[in-house]
Amino acid sequence: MYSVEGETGAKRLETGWLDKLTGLLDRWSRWFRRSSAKETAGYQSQTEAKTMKTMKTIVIAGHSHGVALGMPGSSEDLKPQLIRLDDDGFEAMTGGDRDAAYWSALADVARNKDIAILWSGNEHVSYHLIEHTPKFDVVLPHDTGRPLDEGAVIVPYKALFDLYRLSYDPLDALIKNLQSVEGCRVFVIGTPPPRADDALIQAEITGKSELIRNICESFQIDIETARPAPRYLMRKLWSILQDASRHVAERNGAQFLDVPASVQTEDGFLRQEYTLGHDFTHANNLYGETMRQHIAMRISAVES
Amino acid sequence: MTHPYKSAPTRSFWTRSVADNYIAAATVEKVKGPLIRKGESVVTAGSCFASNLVPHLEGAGFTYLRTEQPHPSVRMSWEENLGYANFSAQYGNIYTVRQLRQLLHRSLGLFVPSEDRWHMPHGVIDPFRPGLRNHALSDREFDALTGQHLAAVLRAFKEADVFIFTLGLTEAWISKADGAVFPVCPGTVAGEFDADRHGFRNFGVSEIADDLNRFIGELRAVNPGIRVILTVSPVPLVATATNRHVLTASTYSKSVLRVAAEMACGANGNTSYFPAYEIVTGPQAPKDFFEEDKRNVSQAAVFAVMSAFLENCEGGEYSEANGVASNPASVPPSADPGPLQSEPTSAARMDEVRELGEKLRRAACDEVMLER
Repeated sequence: MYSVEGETGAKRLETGWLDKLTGLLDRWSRWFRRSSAKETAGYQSQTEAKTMKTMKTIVIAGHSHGVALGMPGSSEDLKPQLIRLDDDGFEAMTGGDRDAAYWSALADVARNKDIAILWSGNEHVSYHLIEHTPKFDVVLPHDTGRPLDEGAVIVPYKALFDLYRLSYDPLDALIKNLQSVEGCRVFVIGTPPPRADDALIQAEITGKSELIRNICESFQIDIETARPAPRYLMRKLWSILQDASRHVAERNGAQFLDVPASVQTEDGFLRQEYTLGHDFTHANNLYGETMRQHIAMRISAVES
Repeated sequence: MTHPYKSAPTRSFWTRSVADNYIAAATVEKVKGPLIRKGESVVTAGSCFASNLVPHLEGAGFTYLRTEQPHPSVRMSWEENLGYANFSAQYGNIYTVRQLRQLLHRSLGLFVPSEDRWHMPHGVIDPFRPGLRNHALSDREFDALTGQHLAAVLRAFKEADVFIFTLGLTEAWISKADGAVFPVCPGTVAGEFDADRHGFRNFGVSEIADDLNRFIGELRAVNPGIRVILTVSPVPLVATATNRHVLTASTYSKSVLRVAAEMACGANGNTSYFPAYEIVTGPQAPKDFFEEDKRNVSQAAVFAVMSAFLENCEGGEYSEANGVASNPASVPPSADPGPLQSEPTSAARMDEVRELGEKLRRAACDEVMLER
């Protein structure tokens, strides 16, 4: 979208803090996914047949948003290994933590394969799920429509983009490493947009969950008066996150595959049928199936 | 036989107050009371040197008014470039009085520069804050961010009890269309230089004094009680656009600024001059007040200036025994803090102040980009 000039400022990202919140989100997601597995299982068989054939095997790898696409979630007991997902050419890299061993194992099996990475994708939640004081809004580069929130501080798009981008910087080395493997192409996959309603988040706040307590503590937000960030803002922040992901992919010569409009409402939120139970950030298996078709189709288009 | 010098105070004599017994704090005129009183809100603006004051003022317990801070939602992101965030509002370095006056006018909606933005491949750039890291990416965002910035500037002007301005340069680059003064030459930090649109001005003493007088009057129209402190930056020019040698151009520039400051102090009530320039550049100053490049002032110089400054503020008690103020922020970096060591809070704050001061001193200001 635009070039990032020299980094003259001091990076102040507290990665330990973000890792902690990400871990909480993942743990929380696994719990909900187990409890809602039954509700989405039926969709899987209906959509499998529609998956397009691709010339190469596509390997799903990465963080928690890959679970909807069939990649087993991280587990301390699992060693990194490649597993087959279906007959249509999808495989997944499973394993324990997404650490050096995981990414190294991925590179070991990447020869002549297309790697679809779902990297992170929860930064807008970790940083901005709870409304900050003073409230803020942001102008998206091509957004001329919606009026800005009256009375809100306007935070520069670039400040948010750069904040999110910090989480994506490790992708540089990963993509380069994978691209050095013979016949391997790398695709960075967009992550699900936010849900349209904030009732679940409000419930989390009311319940003062560990995640909410951590966010409030980190940003010195009073948990007693905490409330969800406005939905329109979360949708904007999600789109900035997608821009950051695209930027890092493209600066490394990888292609970014964004989330199709078909999974979004008219306002750009995650359509109800793709939501995962009480999980307010991850999507369900039906979404994953749709994304797999989308990925296969897009990669197929690249090949043609 | 008697004559006027017989009854003159010690400070009137070079041999008694400079050659011997030199006390920097004594160079400040004391007839107008303390420079800053406890609890008063202070706003600073000016050249790079102005930002050096900030951590020392805050370290000494004075209230530095900040009306435009990075939002807490992005506090974990990158710091702003070139010290924009160091000032009360993110106006960055303001080298000339004309630019300062235009900033006040812009904040009041009295002046809208015709060349108010530069469309560059990487975004929409503010010509008056060309090094801003978090610049806009679209006209809509530019309008929103600039409007918000100017509102913060006006709030700073309106709410300050004391305004400190460090006069930095006489040389400036302006828009030929309407005289808008850019902080640096277009094309150096950002934008593109266009000889048809951009012109050079070297402001003279009467113009600068007039701008200062008008600015102070206009400032008091929105904030009647505000006191003004003027200083002249001791940092020489990075480069001159005149055909002179940079040394003579710099001497001319500082001389003009010094005279204009004096004229403004004489013409306006509640307006004082603080001799930062003299403390750092006078023949009494030690050699280590300048870095090896003979341009940037050293940490020792900043501490000497701030010691003298804080000595003349309420609560800053001067100690003749060690030549420094008892205020924690005024202890020079190499000095033994003595009794302060038993006050961990003060000592820690002092370290923080030093660290901040050092960081600011090293931070490149946009004027330096003239050389690159």
